[in-house]
Amino acid sequence: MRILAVLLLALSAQAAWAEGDALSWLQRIHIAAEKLSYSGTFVYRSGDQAETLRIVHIAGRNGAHERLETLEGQPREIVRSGDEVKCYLPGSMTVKVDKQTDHMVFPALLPASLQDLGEYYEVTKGGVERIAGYDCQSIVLQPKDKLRYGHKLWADVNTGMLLKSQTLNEKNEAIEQFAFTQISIGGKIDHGQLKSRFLAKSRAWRVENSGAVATSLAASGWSIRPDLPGFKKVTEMKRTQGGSSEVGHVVYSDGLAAVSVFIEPMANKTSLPQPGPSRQGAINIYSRRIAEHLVTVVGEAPAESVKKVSDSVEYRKH
Amino acid sequence: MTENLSAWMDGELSGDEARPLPPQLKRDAGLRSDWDCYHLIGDALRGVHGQDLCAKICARLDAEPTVLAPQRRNVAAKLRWRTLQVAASIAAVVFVGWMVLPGREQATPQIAAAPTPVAEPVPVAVAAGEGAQDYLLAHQRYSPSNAMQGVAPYVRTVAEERSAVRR
Repeated sequence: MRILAVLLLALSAQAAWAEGDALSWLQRIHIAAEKLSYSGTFVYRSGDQAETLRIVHIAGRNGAHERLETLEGQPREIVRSGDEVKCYLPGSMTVKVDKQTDHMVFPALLPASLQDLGEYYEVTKGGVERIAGYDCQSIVLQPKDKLRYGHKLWADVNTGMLLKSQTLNEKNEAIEQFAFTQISIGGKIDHGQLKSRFLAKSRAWRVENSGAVATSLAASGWSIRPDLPGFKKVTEMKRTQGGSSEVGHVVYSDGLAAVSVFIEPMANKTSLPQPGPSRQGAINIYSRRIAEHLVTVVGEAPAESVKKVSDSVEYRKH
Repeated sequence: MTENLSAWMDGELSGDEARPLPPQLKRDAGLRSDWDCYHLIGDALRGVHGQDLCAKICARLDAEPTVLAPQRRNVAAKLRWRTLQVAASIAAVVFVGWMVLPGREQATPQIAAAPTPVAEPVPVAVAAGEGAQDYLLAHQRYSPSNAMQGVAPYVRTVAEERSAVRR
């Protein structure tokens, strides 16, 4: 009996150590994403949709400078510099600019303590697999409830750089995948690679600036009480979108997934989406009309969770 | 008859002599059992048995192309696995010989080496339209996945435009 007790104790201690080890890998991935410069090609897959993209990421003292470019079909680009994101869309000759005004740097979105993450996900270390020529440690994040998706990550054993990731549904099927096919990590990367190929051309394009400012939606009568354990309010703002400057935006996150709530007056919309669910990759969207307003919930969480958040939105007239 | 069977297996029968054998095998369960038994003996004599055979079958299975269907993992299988894990742990103490099998603990099914194929999501939701682009762009900034993948997840925002153009 005593042997069994010792054995069980040893096993549980080993399990705790193993989980700590897996969590420390997540930390390594975060640090690598912040500190490393790299350039490479990756493939994004979601359902029958596949895109090949080139990415350049240069880490700097004032945040990262990055460029993402699609390699198939029409060249579309995302250029991120510090807290500004520019999205070049030649199809509609538009540049969408999203500048952060709340000074929240990206790594601040990390769970304050990785242990919090362990409360909602079972984090385990898998085997070592080869991705894009690099030996990668795999990490599995299995959600403990059906409110969030699972994740499988593959990080370079030497640098911690994330080279492949999958978002898994409750049946453990990959609904979205990012995988590098080629990457060079570290070394000198020419800053010229960060320049948009549309830089000159886009001067004649339409520029849509989000101009987000902090606000309180509760003050204008809105209440959102999502019944999603672990999801905490991250930020709340008002932004300009699709010609309307009155779009409320609230973000909730459990440290790994985020859910956004957008509230805007219907009067300002030129076209209204069909109410109900829609999706893009691992992102689920739920659209609903409340009191002459359009409420759109967007998040990398199962459709049920997104709808749950949408259902919790209420408007009370003053 | 069994003599004929043995001769056939060794390739010593002519076509005419062998012709009645397959229908007989189909009818006669006893004969089928003899057939299995002879093969086992033959394999044993040739040394293709036990672990070797298992290893060969496993290798062949591994070499099989991945079926593009979602891996299902039901509760019963998970439970069975947990039970097995516990049993294995106890057996580790009782039966020292068990310890010589390396890497056993790593072979949990959740983290198996086989890549999960990308599967279609449940078709309850329609594909997001052009109008969703602004929401996706605004939302993406706050997605914690950025902290792990940098700008890469923004592909969701631009991937959207192509489908909008196609329409």
